[in-house]
Amino acid sequence: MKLIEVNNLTKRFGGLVAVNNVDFYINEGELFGLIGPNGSGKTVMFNTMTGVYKSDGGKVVFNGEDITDLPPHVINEKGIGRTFQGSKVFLSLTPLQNVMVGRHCRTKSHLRDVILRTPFTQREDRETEEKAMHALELVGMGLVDKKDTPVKDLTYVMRSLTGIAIALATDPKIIFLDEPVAGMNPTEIAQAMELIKRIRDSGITVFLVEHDMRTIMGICERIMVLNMGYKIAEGTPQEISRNEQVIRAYLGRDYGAETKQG
Amino acid sequence: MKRNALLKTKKWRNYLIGIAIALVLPLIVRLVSPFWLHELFLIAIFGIMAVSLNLILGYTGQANMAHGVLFGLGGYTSGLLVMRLGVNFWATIPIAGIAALIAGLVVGYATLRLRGVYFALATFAFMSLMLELYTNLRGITEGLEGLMPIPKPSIAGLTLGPQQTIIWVYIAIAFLSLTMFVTDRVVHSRVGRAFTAIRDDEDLAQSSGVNIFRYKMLSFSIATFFAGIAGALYSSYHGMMSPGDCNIMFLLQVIVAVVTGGMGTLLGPVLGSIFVVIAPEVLRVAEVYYYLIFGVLLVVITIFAPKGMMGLVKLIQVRLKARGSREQVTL
Amino acid sequence: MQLFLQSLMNGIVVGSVYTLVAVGFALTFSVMHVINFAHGEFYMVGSFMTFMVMRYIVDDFWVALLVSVVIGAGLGFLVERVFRPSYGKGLLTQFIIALGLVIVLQQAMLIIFGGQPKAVRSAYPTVHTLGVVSITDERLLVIGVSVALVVALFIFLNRTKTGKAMRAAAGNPLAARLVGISTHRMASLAFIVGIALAAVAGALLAPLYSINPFMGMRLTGVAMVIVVVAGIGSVGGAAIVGYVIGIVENLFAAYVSPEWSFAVMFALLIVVLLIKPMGLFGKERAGVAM
Repeated sequence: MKLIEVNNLTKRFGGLVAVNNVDFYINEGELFGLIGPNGSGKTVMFNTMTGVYKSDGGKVVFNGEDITDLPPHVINEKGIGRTFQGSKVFLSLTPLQNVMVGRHCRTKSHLRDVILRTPFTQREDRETEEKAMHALELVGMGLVDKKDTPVKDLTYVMRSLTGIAIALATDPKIIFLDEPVAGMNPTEIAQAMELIKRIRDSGITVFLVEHDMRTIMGICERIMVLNMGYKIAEGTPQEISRNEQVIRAYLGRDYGAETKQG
Repeated sequence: MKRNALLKTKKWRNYLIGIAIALVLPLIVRLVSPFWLHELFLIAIFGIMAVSLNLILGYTGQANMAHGVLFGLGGYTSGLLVMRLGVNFWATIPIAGIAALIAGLVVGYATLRLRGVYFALATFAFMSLMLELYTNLRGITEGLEGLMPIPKPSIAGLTLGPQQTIIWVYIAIAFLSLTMFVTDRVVHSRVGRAFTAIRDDEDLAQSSGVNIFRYKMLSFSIATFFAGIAGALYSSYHGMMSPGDCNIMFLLQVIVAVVTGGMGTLLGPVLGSIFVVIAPEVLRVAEVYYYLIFGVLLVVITIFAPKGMMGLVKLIQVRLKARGSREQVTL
Repeated sequence: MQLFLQSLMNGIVVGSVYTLVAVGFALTFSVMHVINFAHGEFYMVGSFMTFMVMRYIVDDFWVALLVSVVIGAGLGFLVERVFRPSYGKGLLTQFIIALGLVIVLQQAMLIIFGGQPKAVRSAYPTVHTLGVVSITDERLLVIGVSVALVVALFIFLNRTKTGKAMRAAAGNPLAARLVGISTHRMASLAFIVGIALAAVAGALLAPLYSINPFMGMRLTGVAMVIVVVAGIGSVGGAAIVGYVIGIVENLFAAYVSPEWSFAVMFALLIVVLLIKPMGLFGKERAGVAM
């Protein structure tokens, strides 16, 4: 079933068209990748689909519902979780607290409950902490050990992982990952690839933007390629690595030569 | 689980210490001098203003400049109800809070879509507008001279005049405690987490499910409600309310209290209030130059102690703990 | 009709002063995102410097103006240094530093000159009558200098290398630094120019109305309204809105109520905020990096 369908999506910044009439879809349960050279519009695409930017044309349909230009918190509540490039986290909190923020749209305690500290609120807070721990455990990679250290004292990679845990805690149907392995060494990258597969296997569709070729080619089932705001190719990793246009725009002749031999 | 139980006992211990100080301090001060009793009242009032402003500023990170004039609105509302309509003072307190809350919602609605600096500028404009209203609607507010005389309220037949300042102090401290209690509960909850998320990173908070507009409005409502209450208390204590009581200088003092005390902490604003009320008195010896020195002091503190007094307190705590553990190792 | 034209004329004069102050404010804001809450005080200082020169040194308006500009520029340089430790440390820190400056400047002028309002002699009192409207040379001078400076600033920002560098630093500090532009130098320059403009405004205004050490606050408020109405990042917008606000204020005073004429601009601001939160000439927020 098509979980997300994007039709003619366009985003402009003044005279610059960052995303130009892009069409694609993602199936439920897929591990879908998006690649493209720097400035090709990948992050702009993410932001426009998740309500951070207003679109300048086109439609985004999620689970049969038109979600184009809805506010980000509503989109999150409907089931789209996401991370941001550059390990964005809540700097003054610990990883556990960060992830607890992610439980926000799945909880209800409001002002009256909170001031009176009703049994409902106390129960909900306990649950929040438990579910947050689950998300941290799913991410693994040593994050659980650091759950009470303020994130500003943690490494870039740990922060990125925290970001993923936050998105997981929102109980999404699909998770948008924006360059999750940036800054990781090869061991960490291998672990992250396992993590992403784990996420997909737990029932969450994955929409992955990455620069690291091993990761994308290694785990994605289908890949879309953007260049200068246009979609220039779509298909399996095999098909993409053989596509002339893609090779020319992005992969470089050496890689193309390698795969032709291998 | 064990950790939670330990924290709870520590918390209750702190509460008891706080209550003990709150009960005993006014008595001690009264023995020392009536003047300082008056100062204590002011500290409590600034405390309510600073703790509530801290909710908007320290926890959601929005620089709301209209806080002071909403204090004024509370004062005018309460004063007018008592003077013109003979309403019982105690009833006007929640009404003043609600009036300020409604005005706060209006200001919030118009300005909260703006970010950072522009929000500050816009709320500043609201502040100026309201001051103009207070000054020019002479028929209602008596303009620059101020609304007066506001009759003193009474408890059980006893009129709260100048001899009963200590009762005013207890009342103010009671409301300060209420403000701190509500703030504490809110901050350590789902709502408080949303506030902190907004302050740290609005984009991430939004995409993680937090309706930032709604929560900013919420922090506004809570804070302005208490500002209105502080205004009601002040205007009846003082016997009058004028635009001069809630102008930019007043706002400055509240902001100084929040920032020098330590933003994003519960006790910080109270410490800051003590500084704001006492420092000018201490500096008064420098006569004409005291305001000038205050200005310089302000700049210096802000540059060199950005985490405020609570920051210094925490620093000292950390140092002491480090020393303690070092001693254990050598043993 | 006469009332209308006369008010319009007065509005342009007042607007000229507003524009200089607002443009200076927008400039100091745009490079390092510092709200210099003390901005209006430099306008006040400019007035007092003019008063001091003409009363005690030499009775020549142009010398006084020059002195005000120089002192303004010097103060601008110093003030940028004072704000420097607070870059990136948040709005409140800047606000308090600025308020500290307000107190220091107000008190300094108060101590030196006393609290009584002062008057500065008008150097060009000749009145002209153009049809139904009368205006003094002094007021024409104000309009003239204001327009000249705004045009000069426009040329500077758009046609000169330094000006373009400043705009680059304002728009994208990281990129600017990457191409070798020193953002600190640009900030210094922005402050020097911005505060000098405020000082000039004060000098121009001094012969028209009486001056006192507390008049700066009002202008800071006006500048803030203008900058928010004009919108994010728009120095040119601030220039236009400055004249408009001056005109609106005067027309309102003439036709509706002089008492409320100052409040009207705040009401205007609220209306603009509700309809166009980013301001009349504002651009969309840059948001997350590409």
